[in-house]
Amino acid sequence: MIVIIQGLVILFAGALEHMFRPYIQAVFASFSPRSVGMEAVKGKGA
Amino acid sequence: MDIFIAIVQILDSTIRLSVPLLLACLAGLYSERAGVFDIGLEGKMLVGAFAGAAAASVLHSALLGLGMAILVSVAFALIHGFASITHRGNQIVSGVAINFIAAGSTVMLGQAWFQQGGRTPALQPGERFEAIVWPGADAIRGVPIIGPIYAELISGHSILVYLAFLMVPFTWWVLFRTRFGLRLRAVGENPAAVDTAGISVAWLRYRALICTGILTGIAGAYLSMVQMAAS
Repeated sequence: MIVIIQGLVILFAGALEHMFRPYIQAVFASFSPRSVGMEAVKGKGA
Repeated sequence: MDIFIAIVQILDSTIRLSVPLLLACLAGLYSERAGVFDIGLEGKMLVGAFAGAAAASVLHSALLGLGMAILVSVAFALIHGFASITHRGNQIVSGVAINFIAAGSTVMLGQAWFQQGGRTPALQPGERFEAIVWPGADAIRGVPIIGPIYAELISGHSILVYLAFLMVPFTWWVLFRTRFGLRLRAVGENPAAVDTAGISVAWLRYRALICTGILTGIAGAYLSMVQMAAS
């Protein structure tokens, strides 16, 4: 059971990182644009 | 004469034990030539072995077991392809993940389905691949030199052994004498050229990985349904 969870973590976090990363980046960017290197645009929302 | 018999028996077990390695090598050849590193070969062999033995003991058919082994192994190969071709993830990481999932899931599913400490049930005759005795093997056994070579070395193996050794010239023919093989070699050495020629690199690599999955599935089925199931 532990080994299969390990395997799934490696698969999804390691090998399939490019599947999730754009979405997670977008989520973080909508919370705080500065955390992903974008300047917050004043008066236009996030 | 005893030394001769011993040499024949050593060569005989060499043939039997080399089959999984041979099939896994050919499987690796397909994916490496297509430019996909495949660390997860033994993981695919393991799920193939488990699926083959489980399906054969439940469905009481060796051929259905072999088919299920190939199916599950191809599915794992496609997971590897999805991670490393479609999403361009790290191929080594994906292969390691395949190995981990295979090692974990086979034990867990085996315990959950069969309650034998992670083992699959012992296969009955008819559920495993039996040895094929070639015509005249028993009659010629007494002949001094040719007899043992024919009766022990050539005859008396399961059909997967002959299939594995036939796969070697077949793989050579596919890789070096067909259009698919030429494109497969090209996609490993220069993907940009294949792309320029108007051929889908991704689909070609997926096809190479499907070949890998089929071969590792056969290797796994051999491990569990021929080698370990011998009476």
